[in-house]
Amino acid sequence: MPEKIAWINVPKDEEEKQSKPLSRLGSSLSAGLSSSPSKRFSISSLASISRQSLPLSLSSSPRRPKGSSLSSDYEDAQCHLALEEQTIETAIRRTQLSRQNALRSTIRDPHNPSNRTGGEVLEGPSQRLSDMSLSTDSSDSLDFSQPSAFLIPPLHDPSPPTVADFNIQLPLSLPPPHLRLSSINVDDDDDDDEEDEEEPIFGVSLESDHEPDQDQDQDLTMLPPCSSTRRRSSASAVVLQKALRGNLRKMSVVFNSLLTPEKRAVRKVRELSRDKGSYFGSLVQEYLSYMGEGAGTQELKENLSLYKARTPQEMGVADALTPDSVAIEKIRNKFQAMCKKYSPEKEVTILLRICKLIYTIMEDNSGRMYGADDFLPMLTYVLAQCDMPQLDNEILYMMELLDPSLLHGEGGYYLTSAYGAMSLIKNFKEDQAARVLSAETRDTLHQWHRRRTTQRSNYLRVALQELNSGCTAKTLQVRPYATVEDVCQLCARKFKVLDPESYGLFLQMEGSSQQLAPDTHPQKIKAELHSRPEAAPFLFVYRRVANSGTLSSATPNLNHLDTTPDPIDNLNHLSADLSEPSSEPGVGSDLGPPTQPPQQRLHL
Amino acid sequence: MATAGAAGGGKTFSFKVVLLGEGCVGKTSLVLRYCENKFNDKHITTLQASFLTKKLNITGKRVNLAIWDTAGQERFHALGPIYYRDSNGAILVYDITDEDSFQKVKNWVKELRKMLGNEICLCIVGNKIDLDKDRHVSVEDAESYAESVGAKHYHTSAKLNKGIEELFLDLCKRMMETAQLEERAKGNGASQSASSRRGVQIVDDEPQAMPAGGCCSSG
Repeated sequence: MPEKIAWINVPKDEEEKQSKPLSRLGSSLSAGLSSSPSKRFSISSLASISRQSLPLSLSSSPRRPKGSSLSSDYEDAQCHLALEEQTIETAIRRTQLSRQNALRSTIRDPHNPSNRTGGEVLEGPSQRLSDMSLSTDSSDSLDFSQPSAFLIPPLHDPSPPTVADFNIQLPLSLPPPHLRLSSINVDDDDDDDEEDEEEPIFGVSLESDHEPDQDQDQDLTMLPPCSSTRRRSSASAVVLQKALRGNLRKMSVVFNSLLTPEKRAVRKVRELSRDKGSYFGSLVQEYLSYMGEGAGTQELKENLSLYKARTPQEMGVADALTPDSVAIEKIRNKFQAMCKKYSPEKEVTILLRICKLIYTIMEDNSGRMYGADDFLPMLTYVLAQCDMPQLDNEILYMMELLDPSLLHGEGGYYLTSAYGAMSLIKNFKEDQAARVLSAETRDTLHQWHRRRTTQRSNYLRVALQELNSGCTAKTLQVRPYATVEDVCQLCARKFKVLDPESYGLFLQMEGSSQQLAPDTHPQKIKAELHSRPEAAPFLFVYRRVANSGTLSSATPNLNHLDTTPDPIDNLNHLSADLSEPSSEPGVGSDLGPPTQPPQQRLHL
Repeated sequence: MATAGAAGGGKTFSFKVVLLGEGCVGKTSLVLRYCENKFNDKHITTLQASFLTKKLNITGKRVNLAIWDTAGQERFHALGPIYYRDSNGAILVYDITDEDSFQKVKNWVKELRKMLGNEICLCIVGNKIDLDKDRHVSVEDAESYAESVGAKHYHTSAKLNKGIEELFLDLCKRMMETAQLEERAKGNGASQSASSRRGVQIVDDEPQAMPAGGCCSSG
């Protein structure tokens, strides 16, 4: 069982982590581009992106046996080209010998693929070249006594058809060399490394794919240019690459001219998404690095299988009916359908359907209504039974891209529940029974919340107190590191104070009023006050400084405030390691643990 | 997020309310009673009782409530923050026959005040008053505790449908008040804020002691 799971899951993970978010991002971007959201446009771009960029993912995962139906015309084109492209075959033959041994050793492993696609392969080598090119699975199921030429094409073929595909919206010669390099490196990232032993075939195909991809696959360049060292380079791939390059270049020129304006726009968006300097780019990049950090995956898998052994009762379900294996299978299918959707809204719709199904099963026509006490444990149980580690990323994806207004509705609720259930599973330890969210989860959540509510947390409410006219309060936008001096200047402007030098910022609480020293940070003070166990009401008041001398009296108290050990520090000290890909344009990279925006900390 | 969204002429408030409390204290029954019983139950949700919505009309203003139920079992406690973040109100339910459940409420209050400050309206609800003969949490204790933390206390029975309507209505009014004050502060500020939000009184010249507790301390 475990082997099977590993086999099935790994390619998906791969896909999830690297290609899908990218292509999906790309597609959602393209959808957002057209001023009138044209469905057709987004769909077609989506399809073409995934086709051209995911030759592997289209069929390498067993869950997409019908991937070919979606791309049948694509396959046709591919087939033609694959057959006509003499060069490729020549090159393939040339590399045949050098590869043969390696491939044989790798193929003969226990990860026998599901044979869903196996049938097609038997029809005849030359005819099915394209098929194999689409499917690493099918190549697996070949009789190994066949010449490995048939095994190699799958690894390299995707390129020419990709070029031939008229859906390609990207210029084939575009990516500048440095981008290519970095992107290629990323694909071979540590995750890949980890899985290498388990998934040699996949690893090989990935690698060899990259070489020709350098010339054409634009999608790769979407990958974050994060650092990781080039692992190895396969000699045969290089040979192939050389052989292919000339022809591909020529073709790329031709197809480049076929680009439509929309496609150029998509291209532009992609370029933008690579630019970490832009807000958009930083969002995308952060998201990608988010998805890239797959360290927890293995643990998640283990925990899933641990959790799987538990009964719903153990998880806290009181007396509801539990989904049987048939129902679980049904739910798993729905989840798989959900994963294939690109729009987070659509995904959430499916999630809601799944939840409804779970409720229906629980209810069992009894008419009883179940609240979270029963539902959340059941959802956790179902998620564990489904045993789909890729759901973790999927849920993150939805939380990341779902429209904020929807986050607070029903979809948001059940998404939150799914996230919670998944966190419980992820952090499941037999001994501690998930008493606390793991640091990682908290941090992820914290970052997520910061991203989604950036604006909110930068406000400070300041009241203007005038001797004769009572009090006016304004909510000002005050950055976390703004000093009292900054705030005073802002107040003078906002409240139209004519003699700002005679005004000061005061903290008023519990019957006392203290002037704040110019170099203290109001947001930090606010955060400290909020984090006190007994939160006393307080207010920032901008008013005329009565006499001299107030200032000194205020300082000691506030020093005390500033140095109070932050009671919720334990929630945050971890964010240091992950805070680097911050998307906040304002706060940026200078986010250190000690100086972290205090207000944001509080809103977990 | 969830505060007041002005829609055209009439204003519509959208509030998120989170239900917290130990398992078996009757959170779900409470909210089901409220959402299913009276009014028309045309809430959008077709799902069950974990997430419920309610549309109200309070003094001519439309209010949309989204009620988020949480799992009360200890092992789910850690998930609290993902549910209560951005909430405008929290209903903390305990069972009057179960002192432990009251203790849990205290823990939640502490956590909420710590994480959300006074921005959130707290309601502490002693449920199952139909079982008053088995009461283990005294009314005085509960009410004085609530007052001390700036929360309001309610006595309800989901079984007898007692006190529930009042609870939600009251909470809505308080959340509206909070939202309006916030709105005013955000907008042109000005005169009304002499009675500044959250019960904070500022009188010129003599900084006064502010009443303990937050928005919920009054009334």
